[in-house]
Amino acid sequence: MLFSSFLTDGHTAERRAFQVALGTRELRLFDEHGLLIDEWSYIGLQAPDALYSGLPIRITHYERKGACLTVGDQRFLALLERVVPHVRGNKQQRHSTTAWLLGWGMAVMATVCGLFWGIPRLTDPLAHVVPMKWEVVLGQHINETFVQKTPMCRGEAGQAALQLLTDRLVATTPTAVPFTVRVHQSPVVNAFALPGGHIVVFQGLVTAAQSPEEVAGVLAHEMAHQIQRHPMRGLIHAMGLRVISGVVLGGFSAAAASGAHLGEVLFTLSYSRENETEADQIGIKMLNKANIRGDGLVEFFTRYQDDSATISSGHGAKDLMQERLLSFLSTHPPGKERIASIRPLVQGKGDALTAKQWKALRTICDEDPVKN
Amino acid sequence: MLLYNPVRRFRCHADSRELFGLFLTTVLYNILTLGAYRFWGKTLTRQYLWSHASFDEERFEYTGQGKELFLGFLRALTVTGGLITFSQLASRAVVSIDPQLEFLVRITFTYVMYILIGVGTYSARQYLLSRTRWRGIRFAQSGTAAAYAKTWVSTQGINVLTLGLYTPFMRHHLLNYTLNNTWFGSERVVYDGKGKELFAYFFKPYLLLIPTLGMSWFWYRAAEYRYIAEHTQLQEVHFRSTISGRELLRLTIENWLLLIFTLGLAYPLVVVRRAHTLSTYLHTDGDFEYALILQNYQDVPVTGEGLIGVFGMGSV
Repeated sequence: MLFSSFLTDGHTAERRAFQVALGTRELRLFDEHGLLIDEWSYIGLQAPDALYSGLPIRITHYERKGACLTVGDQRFLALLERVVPHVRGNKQQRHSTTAWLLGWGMAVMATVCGLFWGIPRLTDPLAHVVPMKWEVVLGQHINETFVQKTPMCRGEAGQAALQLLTDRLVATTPTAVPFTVRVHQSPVVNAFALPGGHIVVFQGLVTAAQSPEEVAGVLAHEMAHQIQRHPMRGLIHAMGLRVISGVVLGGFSAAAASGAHLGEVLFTLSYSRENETEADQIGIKMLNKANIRGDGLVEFFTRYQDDSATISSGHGAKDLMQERLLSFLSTHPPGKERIASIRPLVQGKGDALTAKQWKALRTICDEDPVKN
Repeated sequence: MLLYNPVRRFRCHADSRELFGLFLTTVLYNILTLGAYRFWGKTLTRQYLWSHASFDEERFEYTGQGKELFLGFLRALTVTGGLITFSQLASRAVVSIDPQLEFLVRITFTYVMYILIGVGTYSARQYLLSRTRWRGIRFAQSGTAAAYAKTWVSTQGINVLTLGLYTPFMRHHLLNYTLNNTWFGSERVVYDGKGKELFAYFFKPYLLLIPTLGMSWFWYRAAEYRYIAEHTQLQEVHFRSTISGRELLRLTIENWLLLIFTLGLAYPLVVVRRAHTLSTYLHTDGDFEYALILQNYQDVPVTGEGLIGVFGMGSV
């Protein structure tokens, strides 16, 4: 049986038409007049890319370096394999495409899902394994890098009032976290928790609060983050996701990686929302135990739920950059559901601070701020 | 078009399902080997894609090996790692003298890294072309990565100073060097475009960048693509593209959406879609004088495209 084929010799780009026949020990190449031109012994014959179905078959021979014989007829490979079983090299035989795709597809999906499912669950035990000392050092480092660029407020009476409030809340729960709460000069209405007990409250939040109970509510919420070690868990979680997407999709292209990264961000957001709910509930419990009116937190959220950005505009690009960074570190998306879930838990009846203490806290930034 | 020749054209025969299988295998092995498999996976992917791309009914061939990519990566890692260590040490030493100087060290470091991106881009292409064959004849990229990096850094600098207005000239200079140093066997590719002419296509989209939220960029890219094809020839074969800005925009948006909503898993589909579209719109006129195209016996790079891999900019 003769098969039409083309031969390129590896010296010029020209290709010559041949008829190929399978001999006993060799491939026989005939020209258009039927003359035998060449013989390629079966030993040393290779079809390097014959693993792809439906494409013309390319055949090379180690004694004819650079030469390549292309046969279009698919039956040729099947016949050739009968006499030269090694022709595809050591590439595995292909299984049925559909079954193979299904098998591997499911295995990969299972692995990826397992990783995405497992990582958040692994982060919790991992976060508790990290010694508090390390966490404190890490928190200090982050604090120095990002936060201390905004000046710290140093009203003594205000700081004392804040400390008092913190101590009251700490007393409600057995925790090893060494809390430090500081107010920083910034119009941003926000507060966040860094690893190692650092709680940063912005002046904007103190100014925007209409009662000390509102500040107490936010503070309890941030402390609850710390007690649950959310900042550390968040860090480990983000790192874990990074590693996964880097390992899984790395090496393909920047585009694939960015696509995956966007998905990753969405995923992280949903994770941080779970943490917020948890912090809300623990925070309210702390307020109840300290007998502080918990409706402060509810009121604060109600006021800001329509205006979730809560970032006042009109200051420099540098501030904005920092705000972005900070809001990346901790996000507080207020929402109707969130308020609804807090409200029934509120039990505390007492005040958070005396009128005098509250005044001191509100004017904590009036003295010359500490420049770092 | 009267000159349209249905046979002598680029075709992509790749099947996204098959490529997806390859992709999944690579992903799985990547996980098992903590990412070390990527070089071999990339090689298999390229073998597949090259084998499934044809011109004039003859398929391309990829002869690279995973080992080469791996070694290239190690080499590049040593270079960049050394540089990072050096710059860290330098900035520490300098801080003790004057903290202001640290800024200088950082600037220098960024500058060197930038040069390396240029070097990496060109050497990646050198490697890729040297491992690509068609009709048994190797492609090659002559010229030096250093010369390319020089053009890259200087034109990029001017581009920043002119707020991007220099872009078409920059693209022209880089392409001019790259394409005119591209060989198919003994035949050199000839590109005879002019920066000025590219600029004519660029100015309007540039002005419209903000009003169109950046979408006018695709109209320029399509025009650029058509212009380059039209001004490129190999022997007596002229290239021609008919891609439109709209088509390019549609392709890009669809591909991005596919990537985002599948967390990147649709990557094989994206690659195949892109190859299909580009080859559909690329035409050639004229015939090769095949007997005159001789094998290229120049030295070929031993390891491949490490730098660009370290910077995470490699494609396919």
